[in-house]
Amino acid sequence: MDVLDLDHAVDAALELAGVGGAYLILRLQQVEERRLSMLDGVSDRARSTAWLGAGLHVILADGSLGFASTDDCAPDAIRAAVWQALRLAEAARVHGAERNHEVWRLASTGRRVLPTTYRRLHDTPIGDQVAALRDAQAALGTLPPGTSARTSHALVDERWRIVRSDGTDVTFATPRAVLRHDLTARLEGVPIRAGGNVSGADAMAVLAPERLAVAAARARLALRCARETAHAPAVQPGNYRFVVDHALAKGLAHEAIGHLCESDVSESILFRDGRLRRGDRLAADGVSVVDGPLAGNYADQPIGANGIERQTVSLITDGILTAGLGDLFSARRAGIRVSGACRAANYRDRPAPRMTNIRILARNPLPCPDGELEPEAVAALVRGAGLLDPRRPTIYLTGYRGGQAHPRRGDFLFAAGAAYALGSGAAPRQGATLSGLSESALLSVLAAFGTLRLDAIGTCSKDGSNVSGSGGSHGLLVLDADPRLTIGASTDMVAGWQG
Amino acid sequence: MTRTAAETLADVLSAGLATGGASVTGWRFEVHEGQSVRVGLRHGSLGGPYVTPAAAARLSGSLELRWSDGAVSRAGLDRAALLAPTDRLDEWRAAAFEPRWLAPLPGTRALPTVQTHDPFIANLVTGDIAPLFSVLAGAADRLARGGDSSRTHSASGGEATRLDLENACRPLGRVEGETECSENGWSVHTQHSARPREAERVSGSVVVGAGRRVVRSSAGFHAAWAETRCALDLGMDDLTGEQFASRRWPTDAELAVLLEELTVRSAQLAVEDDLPAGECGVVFAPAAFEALLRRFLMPNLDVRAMLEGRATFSLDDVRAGCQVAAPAVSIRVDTTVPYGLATSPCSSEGIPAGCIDLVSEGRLRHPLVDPGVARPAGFAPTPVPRGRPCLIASSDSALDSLEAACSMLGTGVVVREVMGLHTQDARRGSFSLLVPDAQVVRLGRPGGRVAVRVSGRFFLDLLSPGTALVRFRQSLSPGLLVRSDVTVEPV
Repeated sequence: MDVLDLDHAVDAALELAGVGGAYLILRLQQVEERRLSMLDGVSDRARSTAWLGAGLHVILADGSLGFASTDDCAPDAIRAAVWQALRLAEAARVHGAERNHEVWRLASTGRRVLPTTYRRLHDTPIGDQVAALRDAQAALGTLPPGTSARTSHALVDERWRIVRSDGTDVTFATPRAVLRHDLTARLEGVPIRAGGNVSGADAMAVLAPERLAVAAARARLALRCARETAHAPAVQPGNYRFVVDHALAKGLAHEAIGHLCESDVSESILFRDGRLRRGDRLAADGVSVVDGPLAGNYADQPIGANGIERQTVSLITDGILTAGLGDLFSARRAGIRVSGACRAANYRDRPAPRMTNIRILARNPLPCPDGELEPEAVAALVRGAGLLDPRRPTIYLTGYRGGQAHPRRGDFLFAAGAAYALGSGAAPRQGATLSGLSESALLSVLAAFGTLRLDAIGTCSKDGSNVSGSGGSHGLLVLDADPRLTIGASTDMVAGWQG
Repeated sequence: MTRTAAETLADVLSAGLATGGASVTGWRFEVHEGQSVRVGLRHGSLGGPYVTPAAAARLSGSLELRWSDGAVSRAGLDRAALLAPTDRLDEWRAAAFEPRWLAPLPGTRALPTVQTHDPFIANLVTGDIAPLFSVLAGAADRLARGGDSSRTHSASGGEATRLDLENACRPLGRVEGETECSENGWSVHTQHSARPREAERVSGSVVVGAGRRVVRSSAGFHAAWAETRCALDLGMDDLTGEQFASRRWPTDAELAVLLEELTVRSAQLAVEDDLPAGECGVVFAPAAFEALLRRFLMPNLDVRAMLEGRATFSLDDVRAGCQVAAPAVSIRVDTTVPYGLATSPCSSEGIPAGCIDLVSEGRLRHPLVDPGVARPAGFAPTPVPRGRPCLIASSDSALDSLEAACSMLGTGVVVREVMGLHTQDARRGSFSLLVPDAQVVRLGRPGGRVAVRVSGRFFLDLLSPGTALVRFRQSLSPGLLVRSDVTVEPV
């Protein structure tokens, strides 16, 4: 069953909502996914899953809203879901719930089916995937003794159809694929781990030989960093000039800026009296933060969850906060335009403004070789550009391990798996957690090196809904020491737990 | 419906399926059919586009097939697969692999009786949903009034409480005026509502779910049970929150305690404070302590991680009974707690409900074992929690209350929620986390709020003689008092 085959269900939903005088947004989602993994040359996990479901918002004439979802897309079941949503909207009205009228401003964009440009899962033989996993493990080459390699590969063939009462009926795909190596070893009794991945829209984007080579190079470099920093001294707590790789830069953009510019987060410190603080300086001159869909990218989303075309938005332009991630329901209230920045991970979710691919762009980046950079090469680049801090160590952070933001105060943090003190060389230091405040984090950007690398991927969690995200920046970003950008107290390893 | 779908699936699987040169020789599956309803409140407003009142219905599950050539297929089950399993057979066969370790399929066995179903919740899901709005709005109203119960309606009986709470909700959505306009041909009613400013401080949600679960195998295992769940979350000013989570509806007394705690604490945290000078300790409230256990202890007690060398602990550490916590501390898995979210008669692999100490008297006793690796690990499979709490710590010498813990702490902070725990390296056990709304403890008494960074070494914290567990009202899980090996800095 394909979402395009559900016209009867669509008609049933529209008809019933119409009888009730309600506006309907119907989201049909179809997913087929296959996940495989291989441990040290042996396939040890495989799982295939598929589902089809419908989530729908109904909006009564007075703006009261109800939502229902079902995994049964037969017309009768869809009718039952619409009825359920109407019942909830009516209950919301009776209980004086918040109303919203923004849907009445929408105009139809008609029926559209965006072309499918990726290889579908059903055209991807599983045997080819298993063979590619073997090739991927072989591409890792000889690893240090005692190192175990797990290689995972996921292929998600996801299609959406968004139908609205105004006649809009748009079908599009949000496919994604990833190949990831996870390397583990014990070093003097301490477990270490390292990883590297490549991502894209389909199997071809991650399983081609040149892509396997990239994944292997990333994993090998990460393993080298993990091994030499495992027993290294910790970075002393404090403020430093930092050099971060493109994945950490993505984390910075995502946590420090992106989440706080989402139009539903009015409690964000980047809002004032419920409206985005457009015009405020948040970054150094020449620094911009952009979010928007990229065709073929792991987190591509051409159409928002309310059926509105997803636009590329410059949140920060030359250091100035200029726009937000505007969803239909809250953009106007936030004083920004609707940019289709609304996502749902699943038909069961009530969508909310979310990022897709967020990146930090710097004017006039310095040259830098493409590909993976050894820490010594990073030191040489920064030293050569005269950007080492003359007063204290410059700290290179690499190996993004996720982050989190707190909108009200603007706190954010993210963790790096490895750190290096840059000088004449690169002295290993343990991984560290960097924290700061959104209002100042990007003011300290001094320089960037290299072309854009926008393939740092992750999973973004908000209100219990996990969506795929991605982004990046130039190969390296240099942030000057700032009292509000801090490495926390020592995270020395623990050797003494044994009794 | 679930019963029918499960029986249909069992019949089809037992009919001698074959494809790709192999036949199905064994199987096990879990099927769940459930419905849920949720209502949300955001900054004092019920509903709206992001916390829209929502209902959901779903039929899902998981399946394992054993093939005649020794391969195994594992798949998720959606409605279509359940209704026409043979349509997916080729895909399942194509994804078959030979697992390194494989458990025998569960056979007929007796299962303990556990409490998983509250008919009141089942009625809420399928019937009158008004109490969901009422309990949320009433609680919000009570909180907005600073917990002054004399200014709202109180009652002792469950039904009366719901009705009174419904009355109490009215000021939240009071309509001051309505106008009508027309845009794009649609007739629109515009409402201007006015809420008390205080009400805008409150956010929250209530979710109830009900369903039926079936676990079966070709070796004769067959379990079926009804289950419900309820989660009530309330928060004030995004500063602090409280949660009730269970398979049953909360009692009036439980709701009253929750509201009282939240009222008192939100008043305290409304005041910005400074971190006291001197050495600071930390009281991790139950949710924060449980999160630390889940992040740092669970993955390192996982027997697969031990076998593959990915865990901090090894099987030899377990066999030797290594000391990992203070001597009075025990840490267990318990899937029999009445109406606990972790509770069910069995796991999806047929492991019966039970209670087992992973750590007792501070020493490692048992890893977390799934049936597949039980034999190579030499340990029996452990019960599998289906929800929180995953691990429950206990100690005979636990402090009686937060007040007692603050008194013992003297100077420090109470931490109820941490930022960024998922970014910390689980194997090392060290952490550096932000706590934007910690509560100051000064001279043994709780104070206002302060933003801090808390850094420590969880494994050392557990072992430290200065560490103590702390009982909290209405919480099965304790908190953790840490007085050394932890750093608290203002941010």
